[in-house]
Amino acid sequence: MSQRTRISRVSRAVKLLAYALFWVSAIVGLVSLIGVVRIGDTTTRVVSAYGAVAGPLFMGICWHVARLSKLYEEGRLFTADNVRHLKWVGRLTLLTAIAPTPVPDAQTESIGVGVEFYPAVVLVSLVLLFLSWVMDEARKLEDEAELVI
Amino acid sequence: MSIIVTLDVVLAQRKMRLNDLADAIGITPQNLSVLKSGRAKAIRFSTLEAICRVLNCQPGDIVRYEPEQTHSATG
Repeated sequence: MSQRTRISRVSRAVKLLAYALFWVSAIVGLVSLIGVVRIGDTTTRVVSAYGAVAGPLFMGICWHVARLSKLYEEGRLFTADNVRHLKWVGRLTLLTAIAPTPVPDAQTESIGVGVEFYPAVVLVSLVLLFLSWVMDEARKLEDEAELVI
Repeated sequence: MSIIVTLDVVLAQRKMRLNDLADAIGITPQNLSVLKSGRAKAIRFSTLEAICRVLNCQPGDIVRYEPEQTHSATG
């Protein structure tokens, strides 16, 4: 099996997984939204509100990963579109690191909303943004190399 | 850019088409068109040698240097 075929097959699998996660999180987000609107319980509303914030962020990540995988499947490895999708994955990952999350309080037996700081997720997002920058520079080098006759 | 490519002049003198030259030297017509139109950033010596061999010319017949004009205020 050639390298290109291997890249295409793995990219197709990643693309299908990302699309599946996108639609699952869309359904979960919709259910959460219904929970916020229709169920009066405060705890459920807080948890549902978290789903309403984190859900779209996760959907965005899945969408851009799916589009990136589709480009890899087509054999387009270092294009401006690849860089753009990778940058968005990095940005959205950074946002999920600071998205509000439900914080349970055992004393009052309730759930509040807090902002947790996840250093590992921040690091991952920074690495993704750095990789997208390196990929963009490599793409520019390739474009320039094409003008060497 | 200060380097001017005059490949089209030599092609006209030799009555040769761009595609024929591309086939003769083993590069694509698109690449040769990039060179002819002045969009190329660099040319390999091997390519220059092949062009000069096929067209029976010197490198100076294909490329020439023209210093960029600097506009100065006249008083």
